[in-house]
Amino acid sequence: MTGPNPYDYIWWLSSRASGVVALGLVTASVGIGLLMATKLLRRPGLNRVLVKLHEHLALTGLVAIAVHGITLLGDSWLNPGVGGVLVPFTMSYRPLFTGLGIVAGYLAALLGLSFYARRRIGTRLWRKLHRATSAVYVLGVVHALGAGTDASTTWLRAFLLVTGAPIVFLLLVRILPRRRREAERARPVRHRPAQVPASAMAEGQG
Amino acid sequence: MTMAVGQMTRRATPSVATIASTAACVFLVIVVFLAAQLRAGHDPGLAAIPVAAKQATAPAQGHDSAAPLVTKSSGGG
Repeated sequence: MTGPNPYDYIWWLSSRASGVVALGLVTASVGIGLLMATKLLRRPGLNRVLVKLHEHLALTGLVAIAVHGITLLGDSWLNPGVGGVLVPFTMSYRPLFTGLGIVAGYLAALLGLSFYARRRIGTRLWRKLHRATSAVYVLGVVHALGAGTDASTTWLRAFLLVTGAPIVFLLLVRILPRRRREAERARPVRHRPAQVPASAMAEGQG
Repeated sequence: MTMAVGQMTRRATPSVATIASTAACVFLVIVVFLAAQLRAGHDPGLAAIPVAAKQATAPAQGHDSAAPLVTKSSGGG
């Protein structure tokens, strides 16, 4: 059985493909960012490589996000218009999930490009802002599952599962120790009687 | 030793151009895959009209009844 001519749907297919590529690049960039933040890998010179890779993946991801939106403009069936692509929650097709995708795109641009303004806004504030980049990944996955044509396919679900598992692991590694430290700091300090080792006591007695 | 590590680091970092061209290649591979899937009639966004509904509809004059009738049920990215 032969289906319709793919050339009739080229914009739609291009938008779907660029969406998958954008999600892959954002996932890789967020994953490397978390890997650096957790300090799980320590080798001389590795951090510099990871910083550059993280930056390059993020920039390419932003281009892929732009391509995802621009190619959707050519889809005559969806016909979102410039407003539908740029203004969140205004598209007629699944407005909530497409809107979350648009919000994710803006967040990715804002948080990603803030790297180049970190000296102006202050490194401490930039670091705080940059932590929210994980939200871009989460929103992207929710957008893909809620509005993506391929959300029901095995290959996309497998892709999300395989790439999502390390991100969840790294996020937990990143979040849990900080929570533990905060809980320990909040706990009142009890004064325990000083413990003297048994060997020291024996020495004192002898 | 420091030089060697420095040189290795510089060589190991892929440039924006390398990452962008790899991403472009992956994009093309996915487009070709989706196009092949569409051509084969297995696109998840294009739902075929149920057989019973197709049989109930009288074929229009000059219409090729062998050609599959498809509707695009989903248009998101």
